[in-house]
Parts: sequence; C-alpha cells; structure tokens
Amino acid sequence: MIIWLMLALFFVMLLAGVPIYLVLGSLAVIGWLVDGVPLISLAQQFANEMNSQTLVAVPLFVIAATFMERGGITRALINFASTIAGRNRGGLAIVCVIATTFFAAICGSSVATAMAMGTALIPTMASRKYPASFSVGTVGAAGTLGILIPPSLPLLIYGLIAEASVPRLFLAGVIPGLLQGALFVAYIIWYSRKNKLPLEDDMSWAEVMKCCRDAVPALFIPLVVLGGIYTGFVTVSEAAGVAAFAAIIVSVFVYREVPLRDIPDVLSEGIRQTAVIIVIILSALAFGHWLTSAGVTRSIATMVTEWGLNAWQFLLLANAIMFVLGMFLEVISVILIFVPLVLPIIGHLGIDPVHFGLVVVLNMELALLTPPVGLNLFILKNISGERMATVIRGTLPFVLILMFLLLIVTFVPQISLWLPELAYGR
Amino acid sequence: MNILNFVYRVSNVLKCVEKFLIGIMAIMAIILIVGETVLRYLAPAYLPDWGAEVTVYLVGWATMLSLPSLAAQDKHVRADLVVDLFSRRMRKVLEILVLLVGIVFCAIILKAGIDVVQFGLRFGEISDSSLSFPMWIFYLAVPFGYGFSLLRYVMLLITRLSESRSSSLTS
Repeated sequence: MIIWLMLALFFVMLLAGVPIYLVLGSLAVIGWLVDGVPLISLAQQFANEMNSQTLVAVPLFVIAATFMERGGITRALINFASTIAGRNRGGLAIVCVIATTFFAAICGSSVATAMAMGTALIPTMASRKYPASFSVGTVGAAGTLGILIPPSLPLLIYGLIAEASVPRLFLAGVIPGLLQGALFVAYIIWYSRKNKLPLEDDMSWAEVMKCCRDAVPALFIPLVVLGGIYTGFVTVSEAAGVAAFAAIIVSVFVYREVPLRDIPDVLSEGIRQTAVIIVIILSALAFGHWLTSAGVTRSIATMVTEWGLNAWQFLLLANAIMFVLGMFLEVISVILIFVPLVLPIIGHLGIDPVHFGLVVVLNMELALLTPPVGLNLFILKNISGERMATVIRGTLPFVLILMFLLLIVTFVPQISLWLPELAYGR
Repeated sequence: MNILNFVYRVSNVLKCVEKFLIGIMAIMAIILIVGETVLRYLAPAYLPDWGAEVTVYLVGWATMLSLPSLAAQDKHVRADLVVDLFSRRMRKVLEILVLLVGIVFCAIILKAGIDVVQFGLRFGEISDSSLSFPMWIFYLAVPFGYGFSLLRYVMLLITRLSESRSSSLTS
C-alpha cells in the first residue's frame, strides 16, 4: 500500500514541477519516518555519501569542462579536425564529428560539448549554406559523444550507484563511441553527396602545420588524463583534478581566452553545476536505501523473475522504459531513479554491470535528443535561433542511427566489454 | 516594499560571499589533488596522508555552499513540462507549493544535520589520518547548505507573496 502511495506522490510532485532532489528527498523522509528510522541517520547518510573519493571526481571533471567550453580549446580542435577531413563535401559536418570526438575525450558532459561545438560551428555552417536542420542535427547528435567517450559524467555516476569499476566503464565506452562517430560520418557523407553540400577549401601546408601545432596543448589533456587512468598512474579523482588543472592552464595561459580575473567565476560556476547533480545523488541514494530496506527492489526482482524474462528480454524492456523516462526527465535523474531499482535484477540475470552501464548511457544519449525534454535540443535551439521543429527534424536521422547502435551494443556485449577485458582481464 | 528591499540586499550579500568562498575552496582542492599526485612520484617522503581527505572536505563544503544560490535562482533540475501547460494563476499556486515543499524538506535536513554535528562533537569523532580532523566541521556542511537553502526559500516565499498581494491590490 505504502509503495503505491509513494508512487502516486512521486508522479504528483514531479508533474507539479517540484525539483527532483526535493521529490526524491521528500519520499526518502516519508519512507524513513514510516519505517520508524530516526531522521538523524538521513543527514548522517548525506554526510557519509559526500565523504567519497569518487564523488570528488564529478565537480573536478565539470570544472575542466567549464574551462574547455570557454577557452580556445574548441577552436584549436576544430582547426585540427579540418586538417583531417575539411576538404570533403560537407566537410564542416565531418569536422564537427571528429572535433567532438576529441573534445569528448577531454570533457565528460554532453551539454558542455554541444554548447562549445554549436557556438563555434553553427554560424560557420550557416555562412556556407548548409541546411539549418542538418547543421543543428549534426552538432546536437555529435554532442552526445561527450557522455559516451571517456571521461563521462553519467558513467562515473553509474559507477558510484552500481559500485562498478569506473576505469572499466570508461574503457567500455571507447569502441561504442568510435563506432557512433563512424556511423555519423557515414551518414554525413551520404547526405552531403545527395544534397550537393559545398566542397570546403584546400588548406596550405603551412596552415595544416599551424593547426596541428596549435592543437598540441588541447590534445595533451586527454593523453595525460586517460593515459594516467589506464596505466594506473593516477586514480579517477586524481585524473579529474589533473584535467581541471590542465584545462585552467591551457585556457588561461596557452590559448588566453579566459582572463585571470574570471577564474573564480568559472570555478564557482563549475561547482554550482555539480551541486545540482550532487543533491539529486544524495536524495536518490537515501530514497534507494529506503527502497532496498522496504523490500521494493527485491519485490521488483521477484516479479521480473516470475515473468520468466531472460537477459535479452529484460534488456529490451529496460531500453523501452529508459527511452520513455528519458523523454521526460534529465539524464542524471533517469540514472539515479532507474538504476537502483534494476541492479538486483541484472545481477540475477547474469548481465555484466559494465555492459549494462553502456546500455544506460546510450539510452541517455537518446534522452538528450528526444523531445519534449531533450537538453541538447534546447541548447541547439538557443544557439541557432531556429524553431524547435527544425532542430527535431535535423536530429531525427541521428536518433535512428543511435537506436541502431543501442540495439547492437545491447545484444552484442563484446562491443563494450572486449576492451576492458583485454586491459584488466575478466 | 521595505521588507522586499531588505530581502534583496541580504540575497546579494550572500551571493557574493558564497561565490568567493566556493572559488577559493575549488582552487585549493585542485592544487591539493594535483600536488599530491606529483609528490607521490617525485618526493613520496613528503607526501602527507591527509591530502585526499582534505580534498573531499573542501569539495563537500563548496558543493553545500552552492545550494542556497541554486535555490534562489531556481536552478535545480525539475520536469516543468506539465506545469507550462497550466494557467498563470495555477502556475503561481504551484510555485508557492514547491517553495513550501522546499522549506519543509530543508528544515528537516537542517534539524537532522544539527543533530549529526552535535553527535560528532559529543563523541569527539576525528578522522583516521595524522591530521585527526574533527569530523563535526565536515558534517556542519550539511546543515549549513540546507539551512541557508531554507533561508532562501523563505525569502522567495516572502517575495512571491508580497508580489501577488501588491498585484491583487493594483488590479
């Protein structure tokens, strides 16, 4: 009975526009009170969850992303990508995907990636007469690579919730990320030939050399951060600290696009963006604790077992539920609400938590592009000034490609698991 | 109107103090974590055993200090899809309800958080490192963040109620 009341209250508060941290936190308070647990344990749990080395990595990666978004790193990476693919028909769109892949290897946030790439590339694409829907669609869809290619905030948070190895999760995102980039480039080439998009100008040898030289500091960051994690030289939180430090140095002293006096503002903005996520995490973990102690997660696991679902049927159902949730909720909220509920089931069905983490993140990429609450859609609409219908039309082909990739990654676990197993063993 | 002016002035002062403190804590955390990483390889003899611990405290405090301004500027994540479909009057009612939920929740966490701090003080709880850091200072971040969020929600409620009273008097 209490579970149905909680469920009703959850939807009423959610639809009434109550912030998600308050929805989950209030339900946790009610649940703990009903169970007769003193609320001092709730505040103690908040403090204990914050006392975590892995959680420290979240704000530091966000700070790194905030500096990269404002610094000249974006421009340097775009110019570098132009030297690789700029001369083709529709070259700017291919450049967008390649530059975003590099940017995603530094930045763990899709929103920051889409904002940085959109601001730099959409006006240029418009001046070269690219169709508006195609430009915004390309940037919006490529921006989702930010959360698939490591480092990735959603994978980090999934690792915290599922108690899965973060380096393994990060490594598992590499092949699906490159596959996504390749599929996007293939579609762009087909579209550009079909619609006769303009051929971009050739670059002189001196220009190519200058672009490559300028990109060295930007490319140095992922090398240090990801190289450090995978070689075991640094922990994930230390890598996040190094990423933040390197991003500040490169943005302020190398590309000189963030003035020294703006550092406190950018730092505090990074922490504020993180605080939004961390309060939801605290509330979700408290609510999750109640769900487990009240036996809700066990009941759901039993129910699914009684249905006789096997692993692939469950994954299909999980994909459908996450797709619907992702249409209405923000990415981190979906992970924090959905994952704790299904964790016992994936263990029971023998699904690798690292593989499931990748399935979750691919769903979250779709969530960023599906209306009515697709965050990248709003960012692209704001940057381009186009109508929402134009933005949605532009992202639709990429959404279909992502769905195809999601099915492949869901039903061929080796795509995500091969690399982490190669590096760390089974 | 005097009360509104006072609310705005308090709000501005809090915003400046929060931003300054958050910036300082964030930069200290970054320097500490990078310094510790470098020391581990270059001069392990000088590596303190409390670096990672203090980084966690700094980041925890900076995060909690950000909460009040998030509440004040309505930056917390919410699903506002259905709310946007309601009439203006209904939206205002819901806005006040949301503030009330915020006030009640933050008041509960403030009270529970103060209990945790008192508990830490009473039992002299300290960290395991050579720093022997008094844990109540770290625990204090929770009632601090939620307590000041409570203050911001109350200030917002006063502002909203004053605005709706003055608009109903005008009409």
